Formats: sequence, C-alpha cells, structure tokens
Amino acid sequence: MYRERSHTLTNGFGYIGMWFSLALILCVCLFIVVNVLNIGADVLSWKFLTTEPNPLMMESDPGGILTPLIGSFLLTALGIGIALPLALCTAIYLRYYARPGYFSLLIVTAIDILASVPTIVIAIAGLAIATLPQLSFLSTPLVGNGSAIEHSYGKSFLTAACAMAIMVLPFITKAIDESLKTVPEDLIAGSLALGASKWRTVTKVALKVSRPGIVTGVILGMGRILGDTAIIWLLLGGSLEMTGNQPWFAPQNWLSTLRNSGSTLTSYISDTSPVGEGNRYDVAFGASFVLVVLIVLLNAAAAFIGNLGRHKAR
Amino acid sequence: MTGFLHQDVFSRAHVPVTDSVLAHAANTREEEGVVIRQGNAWYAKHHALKDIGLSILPRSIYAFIGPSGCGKTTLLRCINRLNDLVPRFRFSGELLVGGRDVYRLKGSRELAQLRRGLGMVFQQPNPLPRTIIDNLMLPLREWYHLSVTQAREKALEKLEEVGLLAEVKDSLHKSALTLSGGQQQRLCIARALMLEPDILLLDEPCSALDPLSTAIIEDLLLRLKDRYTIIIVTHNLQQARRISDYMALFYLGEVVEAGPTAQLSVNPQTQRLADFLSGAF
Repeated sequence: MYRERSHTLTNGFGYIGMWFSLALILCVCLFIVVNVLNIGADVLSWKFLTTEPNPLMMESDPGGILTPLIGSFLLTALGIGIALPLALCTAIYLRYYARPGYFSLLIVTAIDILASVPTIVIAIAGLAIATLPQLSFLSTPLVGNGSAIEHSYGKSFLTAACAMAIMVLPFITKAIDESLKTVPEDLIAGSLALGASKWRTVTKVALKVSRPGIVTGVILGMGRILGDTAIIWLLLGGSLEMTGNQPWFAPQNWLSTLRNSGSTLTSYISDTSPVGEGNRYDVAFGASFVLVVLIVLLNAAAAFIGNLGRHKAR
Repeated sequence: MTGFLHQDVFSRAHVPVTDSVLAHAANTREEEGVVIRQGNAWYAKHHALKDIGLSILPRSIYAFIGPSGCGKTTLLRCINRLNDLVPRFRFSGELLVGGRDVYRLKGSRELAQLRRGLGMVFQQPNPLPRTIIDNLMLPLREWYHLSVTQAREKALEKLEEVGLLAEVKDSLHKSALTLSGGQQQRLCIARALMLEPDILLLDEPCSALDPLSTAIIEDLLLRLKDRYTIIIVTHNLQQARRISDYMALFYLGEVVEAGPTAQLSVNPQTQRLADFLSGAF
C-alpha cells in the first residue's frame, strides 16, 4: 500500500498566507482612514464645507472647501456627461453592429491602449490641444501684443472635463461592453423574432437588461474622475477659487465659470499640504477625508446597484 | 393529473393518422406554407445545409428530427432569417414563406413584417425580465397603436389560449421570471401568438422542461395546429411521433427522408431512418 499523503501542512500555509494578506490590507486601509480622520477631524465642520477657500492661502485663515467641492462635482458631471454617450455608442457598435475584422480589432486595441495611458500624458496632450487658438471658446483666450488672439489659455472646467472624458472613456466602454455581454443571446433573438428592429432591440431589451452593469461602470468612472490629480493640475489650474466673472454662481456667469480655471478636492489637498503653498496639513487631511467618504459612497452605490441587478435577473 | 395527460397524448400516437393527413394534404395549398428548394447554407466555410428540398403544408405539425449538429435548427432559423445574426452566414436557394422568398426581401421593414408573421419559441424560455402582462403587451404595442386596455384584453385571450390564464391571473403584474420553466415556456408561446402569426417555429421547446410540462405543451401544440402551421425541431423522436403529422430526418446537413410521420415511423424507406428509429444514433 502507498503511504497516505497529508495536506495539513500545505493547507495550513495556505490559510496563514491568506489571513496574513487580508489582515495586511485591512490594516493599511484602517491606518489611512484613521490617520486622515485623526489629523483632519478638527477642521471638519459644516462651515468647512460651506465656505469658500481663502485665495491667499493664509496659514492662519485657510477658509473652507466649498468651491473645490463644487469643482469636483462639476467636473465629474461634465466628464461623465461627455464620456457616457460616446462610450454607449462605442460599446453598442462593437457588440451589435461591427463585423468581426480588422476595423473592430483596431477599435478594441485603441480602447485598450487608451486605458493604459497615464493620466498625466492625457493631461499634457490635452493641454497641447486646448491651447490652440481655434479652441479658445473652451477656455479663456489670451490676447497678445496686438489685438489678435495669439493662443488660448487652455485651462478651464471645459477642457479638463474633455480630458477626464477621454480618461474614463475606455473604462466605461469596457464596463458597458462587459454588461452587454451578459445579456442572454436568446432575449435578443426573441426580440428580433417578434419583428422588432435591431435598434429597438438594442435600446429596449439589451440596454434595459444590462442597465445595472452600465450604472455600476458609470459610478466607478465617477470615482476615477473624483480622484484624479494630474489632469486637474495641467488643465484646470491651481487657483483655489473660481476665476470666471464673479459671482461665479450667478446664472449669467455660468458659462464664464466653465471657461475659467478653478479647483477640485484633489488640487485643494495638494495646495494646502506642505508641498503646496498652504502649509496646513490638517486642512489637507480634512479635505482628504471628505474625498475618501465621497469615493466610498460611490463604490457602495455601485455595489448596491450591481447587487440589485443580480437579484432581479434571477 | 399526470397520468391523464400522458394517456391523452399517448393515445393520439396510436390513432391511424395517415388517411387524415393525406386528406389534409389534398385540401391545402402549398403556397400557404413553407417551401424550400435547393436550400444550401454555410457558416463561413462550413457547409451546414446541403440541397434541402421540403414542402411544409399549412395547419399541420412538421417535425425536424436528427442528431445534434445536423442542421435542423439552422434551417428553422433560416425561415425567419435569425441566422442573419451570425457573422459570415450565407444561404442560397429558394425559401418561400407564403409564396415570398425570405432571402429576397427588400429592406428591414419587409424583414420585420416577415418576422411578425412567424412566431418563434426557443429552447430556453426567454421571457424578458418584466412583468407577465408586459411580456405579452410589449410586442403588440411595438407594432400597433393600441391602448393598454386593448393590449391587455388581447394578452388575456392569448394566456387563455395557452392554458396559462387560470394559473397566473392573480399574478399578472409579477415578474415573468417568477414562473416555473414550463409556465415560462407557455408564456413565450403566448407571446409568439400575440402578433397572430401564420407559422409557429419551435426550437426544441421542451428540452429544458420536465415530463409533465412537456406533456402540457405537446397538448397545447395539438390544439393550436388547427389554426397555425407549426414547425418543431426536436431531438426527441417519441415527441415527434406523438405530435407531428410530418417529419424530416436530418443528417449531416441533408434531409435523409421526409414524409407523413405515421408512414415514416412504420415503414422507413432508408436504412438511416430505420437506424434512427431504432435508436442507433
């Protein structure tokens, strides 16, 4: 007879390795959150959220995070607003209309490449394009020695939103594509067999069935825009307040606000940290905490909606 | 209840149907049904259908039988051109539905109208993840300007027709996915009937169902054949014998033998069919 093989040792090592990794991840996560909260808790208040930052970045009076917070929301909404229709069309085209061949392979490859381009590269390419005088309607034109426009400033909510849209485009396209993949072939065939057109089938059946997956993709894309810094630095500028016509929130000045620079939570954190000019790391941590809470909430929403879909599909 | 249904279906198989089938054939016109001449089909380079010639008479049940991958489903999906979904699929030959060649239709509008006249039921029940009543009203309201009340009335009529109304009349606004597999399949048949098709295409409608649900659906098909032309793809030889008036044996993309079921199952002309009937493959 053969000697029986014991798996106790390998199993044991497996368990220890697993638990160790889990514990490490949890500890790191907890350390960051606790640290951020510990240092930033003192500045957190309703006033902190609802006052504008002091544009002079005085150490003694840094002000609140109202405009960075609004800047973050604004940029996220604009970025998704631009990216979502494009991503939807791309994903629908690839899944239901494209014939397999070099052309669709080219598109898929381009999406994959775009997904792996670092955001700083997207930002600098975006800046190069946004400073073209022809695109001065997106930001503020800079007037040279003569009266003619020499080039555009390039930094504004609009240009930053375009770059953000390009950044999340491959991400959301992939998410929608994956979601469309899960739509049962039979439902599509069933709809077509009833004489519904392809377009109606896609919009009424495929998009409806895959909606939870699409929403999850969009929410995760929002998280990426909220957390990005490189594009903000290059295309939105480092000014803490809104630099368009004042008051920035008045409806007649909305366009001007969008065409001018501002700040988001990420650029605010960078500015108020010792690396920036603010030298108030407690304020930076306070803003960090707000940002982390926002992103956690978005992820929870994504998970919730994803689950909802799974529940419904049963 | 099980026993009753099985007996009912079983007894039909022993009714000598040949005479009635021949009378039926004499009384109906070929053009109302489906005619296939020299049908050839390819998936890329794979020759999936070879010189198919069949004539399917209206208001009868025609069964396509044969082993997996022999072309039955391919032919079925040619009739409503669902194979258009498959990249690099190609069909040549004539395929007439009601006298019109389905592969020579002009534009997507005519294709949609063709499909409206051809109800299809799939192997896996495929209700949409919506309510039961929505599943039925959707195709109708997609095609016609109808009030909800009118659509609902029609939906209830069709539910009655497939014998589902009594079971679901209290849960019309529940998700269709809460139904059992057999009920879902009957819902799908009802949905296929909503647009008053002439022809019903069934792609192994019972292969995902238990014997009781199968018996209920077979019974339903026998009731429906007075008004619809039914083409059913099945692996199940017993099923073909129980319900079909005609059958065709497919093997490797060719029709080996076709004719009235009662005649074929008693007196096969080819060795291949004799082997299939005896369960050799």
